[in-house]
Amino acid sequence: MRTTLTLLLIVVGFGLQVVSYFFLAAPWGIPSSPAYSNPRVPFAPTIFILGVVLVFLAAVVYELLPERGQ
Amino acid sequence: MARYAMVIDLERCTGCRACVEACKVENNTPTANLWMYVFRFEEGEYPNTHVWFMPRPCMHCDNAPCVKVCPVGARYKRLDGLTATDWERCIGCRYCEVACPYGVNYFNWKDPAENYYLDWNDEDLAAVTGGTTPPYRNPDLDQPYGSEQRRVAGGGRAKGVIEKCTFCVHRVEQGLLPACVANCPLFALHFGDLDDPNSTVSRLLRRKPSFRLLEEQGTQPRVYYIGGKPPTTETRQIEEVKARV
Amino acid sequence: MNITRRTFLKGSAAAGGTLIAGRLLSGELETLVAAPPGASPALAEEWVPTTCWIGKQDCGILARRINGRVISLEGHPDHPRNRGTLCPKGIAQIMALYDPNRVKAPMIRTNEKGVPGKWRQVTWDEALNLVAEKIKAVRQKDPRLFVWQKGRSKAKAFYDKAFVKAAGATKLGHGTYCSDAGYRAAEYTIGLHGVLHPDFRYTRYLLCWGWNVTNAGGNKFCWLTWPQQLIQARERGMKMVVIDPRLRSAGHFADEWLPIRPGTDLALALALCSTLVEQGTIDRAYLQNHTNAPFLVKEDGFFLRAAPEGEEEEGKPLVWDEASGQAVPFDTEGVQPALEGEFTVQNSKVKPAFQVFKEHLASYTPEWAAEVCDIPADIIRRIARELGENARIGSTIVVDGITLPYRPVAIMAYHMTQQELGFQAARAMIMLMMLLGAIEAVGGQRIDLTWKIHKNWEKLDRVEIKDPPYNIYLKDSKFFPINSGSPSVMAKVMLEPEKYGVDYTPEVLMLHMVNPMPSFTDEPLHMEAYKQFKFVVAIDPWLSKTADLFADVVLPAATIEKYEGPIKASDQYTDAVAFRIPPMNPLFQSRGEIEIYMDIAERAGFLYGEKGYLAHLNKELKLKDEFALPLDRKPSVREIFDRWARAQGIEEGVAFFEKNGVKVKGPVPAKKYYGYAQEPPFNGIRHRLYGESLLRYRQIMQEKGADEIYWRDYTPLPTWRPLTMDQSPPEYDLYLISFKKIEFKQSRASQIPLLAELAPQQYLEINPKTARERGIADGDEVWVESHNALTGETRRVKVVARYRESIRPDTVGMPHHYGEVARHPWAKGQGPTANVLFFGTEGYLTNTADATFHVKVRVYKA
Repeated sequence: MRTTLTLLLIVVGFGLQVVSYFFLAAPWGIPSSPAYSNPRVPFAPTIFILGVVLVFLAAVVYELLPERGQ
Repeated sequence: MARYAMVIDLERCTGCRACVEACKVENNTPTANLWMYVFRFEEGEYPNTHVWFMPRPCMHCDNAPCVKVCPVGARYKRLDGLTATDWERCIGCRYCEVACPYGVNYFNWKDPAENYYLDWNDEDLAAVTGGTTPPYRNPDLDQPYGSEQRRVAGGGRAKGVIEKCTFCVHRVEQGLLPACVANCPLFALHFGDLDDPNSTVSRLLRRKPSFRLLEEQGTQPRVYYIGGKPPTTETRQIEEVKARV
Repeated sequence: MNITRRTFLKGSAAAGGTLIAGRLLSGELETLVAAPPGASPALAEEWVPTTCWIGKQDCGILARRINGRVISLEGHPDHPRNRGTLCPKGIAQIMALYDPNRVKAPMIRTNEKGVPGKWRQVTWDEALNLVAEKIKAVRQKDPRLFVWQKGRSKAKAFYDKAFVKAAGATKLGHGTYCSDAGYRAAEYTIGLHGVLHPDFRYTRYLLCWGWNVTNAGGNKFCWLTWPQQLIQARERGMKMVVIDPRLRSAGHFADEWLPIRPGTDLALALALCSTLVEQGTIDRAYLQNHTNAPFLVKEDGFFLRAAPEGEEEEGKPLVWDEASGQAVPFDTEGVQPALEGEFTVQNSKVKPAFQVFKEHLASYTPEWAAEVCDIPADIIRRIARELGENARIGSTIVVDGITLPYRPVAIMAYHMTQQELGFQAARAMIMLMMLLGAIEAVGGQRIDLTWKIHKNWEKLDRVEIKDPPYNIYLKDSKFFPINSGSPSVMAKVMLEPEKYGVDYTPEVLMLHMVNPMPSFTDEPLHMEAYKQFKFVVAIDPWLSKTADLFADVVLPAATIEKYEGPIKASDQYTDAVAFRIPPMNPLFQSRGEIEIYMDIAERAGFLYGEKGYLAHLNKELKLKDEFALPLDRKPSVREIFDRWARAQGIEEGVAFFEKNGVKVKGPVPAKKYYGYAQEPPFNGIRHRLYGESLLRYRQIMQEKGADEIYWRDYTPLPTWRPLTMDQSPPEYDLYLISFKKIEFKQSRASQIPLLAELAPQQYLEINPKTARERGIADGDEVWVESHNALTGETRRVKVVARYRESIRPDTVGMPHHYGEVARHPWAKGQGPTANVLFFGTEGYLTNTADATFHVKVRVYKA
């Protein structure tokens, strides 16, 4: 149970990082106006950090949840 | 919508740092926060030395690293090109300070009321100034600006927020030039709309070769330098000012 | 206690959560809470035109005032000197306006002098009464005992002059630490009151001789007017050769840098003169017709003169007329005077002064100068050739419809004249320009702003050297016949009056906006001497170091917040006048100086009446008839200026300036500007290439038994001699020079935090090679020790060393400005004044009693 949750957290965490960085934050394509510097979604860096936090929380979760069979 | 940029003429600059002072007074920045900084450089060995000077405001990059990393969207790029900091929204994480390759961000470590050079808590003085800190506090900086109506002007607004050069957004919106440009005694600083072919900045950039700082980093700065060459590894700083507390 | 990882994690999570919750709930994360929009109060914005107070040249300012509070100072766009811009000091002045460390009320000293003061705050009444009582007493006893000393007049020097005259005080200025050796040279040689600056609109080749372009002043004006004109000239193609031991002062504007050895400028000037004569690029017409170059000089060095006519004491000097083959008076109609040759007239062998000069120059070759100045001979020759070519001798140009000689070469020189041979060096530089015919020509050498012969043209040529007793600065004495009035000389005289033939010691001193301790050379000498003053009153916005140590009374003066004027606002080409208008009431209990002087004069009994202060004010401001101030009532300061403005034809009176700040009169016409445009040119005077009266002074000084050190530089032609400072032992192997910084120059600004932040500390500029030889790294603390070659005295200070490639390896430099104000939080720990190391006594004074800012030092790690 805890392994699944841990792995889930890691995958989701990295997923969030990838999505928020490449698709929500970094500008792609040809700039049409100065505003292209702004992230697509206002809190994109927060989502990235959230992803990082989730990855690290995975370790905590692994620690806190009881082992199978205990 | 205008496309603002600054052109700095290195052939005219004498390194007097009047722009540093003009910015300071206009924007009420606290001690050691030098939004506009002027480098005094020396190159070569005696007697073949070369002394020159380089003002460095915020570059207001079109591909700004600081904007990309702000977790709360307090640092954002306006449509007219100004890279602004909403000091009400800033949480003081200092990611922008880390991300910026030019080092133009200043963090308010201290409570601004205690960080304006002198102790202004003098009764006799308060009778004259009404007790404001600093006594030359500029009321224009308290207003919200831009179509998005955010508070982006002025320094020393709150403890724990980041501040940097705003291209004097509170002046530009009224049709005035930034304080540094308006004051430069040698008329070395120019500001204007790149989309207007007749503006000073457009004409200067058409006529003279220019460079931007750290172009290889891809930040697309909006500050252009004419009349000189970029600093190299051989360029030494003399008469540095200790910025940041 | 057994803590498992689980417990630990749970515990820290709980603790962290509590912390965050606590912060959130206590509202300290203020940035997450939007500030209330708040109704912005109606902002009444006003712009008060006024004039800068902090620096030298009184630039025009517009003070921005919102709801009665001044929030910034910006440049006045109509003012010709600064055109809507300000230097860093002008902007930072806003902090001086509000500084809580300013003297709030008059203060009287309660402890002994020579140590930091203990003050008691008093009312203006008490302070003024005390000052007036002392001045009244000293005037009754002997007015010579009252010395009035000033730093700078911040407007037309009328109210201070009037006070000195009304009180009968002895006046001392700051000129001997500024550029007065150059002023005396120019007054003596050309008759104009100034040093050297170019006609920037037309100059094509400029010798930037010690001029600090990026940080400091220049003749007459200052930052920023000169740099603005310089840049325009450079964009027009003007070439600039910088002659300076350090390059930093000219920055990237130097097309060429000649790193001259300190103190050797006379040698370079002589070598350039010599090369010009050798290559024949001299303006013979100018020399023949407008100078005393053709005057015949006898073997004894004096002019051959005709018999005196009528009431004359001396006859006219004679010249050799090539047309008639005989000696005739120089102003004979149609004369063609010879410049060279040797003639016999009335059994005496005579030569034209130019011939004497030519022979005098023969030994001053570029090869000789290369040894002295450390500038290669071929470069000196090339500069002389470029000067000759660029001078375009013989050419003319039309300006304002007048055809004038066109000689677009010039020198900009000012403070560098304050060196041991400064008077003669300045003379040699002027004579260099005379050889090219560039004096007062278009594009050529300027000295004053317009052609106006100064009274010293006659006075310096006819000094009557008297016998003792002398006055406190040895005026008309056998020590300094040409005398710039030096406070260092006064200090020395106060310590040894019998040696100098002075029979009194001054008792009362008034310090008007002056701070002698850090500002004048030889701080220890002044410290000793000033202890002797019985009563000292200081007028100053801050407690200066001098006042803190020696003042009995401090009267707080206002800064920019007062009426002061009229202020010349010309930039050399456009004429204008401005006023200082108070943008707010004087801070705390400070007052404008004019009010202070009127009150003192009133209480001391010399305000009213025909010889009173008011009468002198009328005289100095030329107020006559209905505009004159009535002599029986005390006016407001505003009224004085209102009358003056109306007397000038300005109907609204001073209200015009309260509204506009500056009155632009228009371009200066060529007729007023150029000496050549006068009719006759130069009003017919003959510029003194040959200084006959200097020889006369020398002989009289010798007759009266003056020591050689006083008369050795009184020579009719500039003559090189080894410098006193070079007699110091070889371990003092470096030259110390000083310089100004733009953050503080010519101001009371080193305590203003906005500026002090940019340059917080004293330092020593040293060439890295020189430093490494002494084991000194960039940023190390070092001792700088100076040596007096005549007395053997040594002095030392400890400062931080900073590497600088653009300074000669045998030279170190220290800025001025530090150590000015006592009791200011930002002035603490700024470091020593460079003036501790410079000497202000014989050997370190010019022959005109001007200070010198050179001394030999050694530098070693602290």
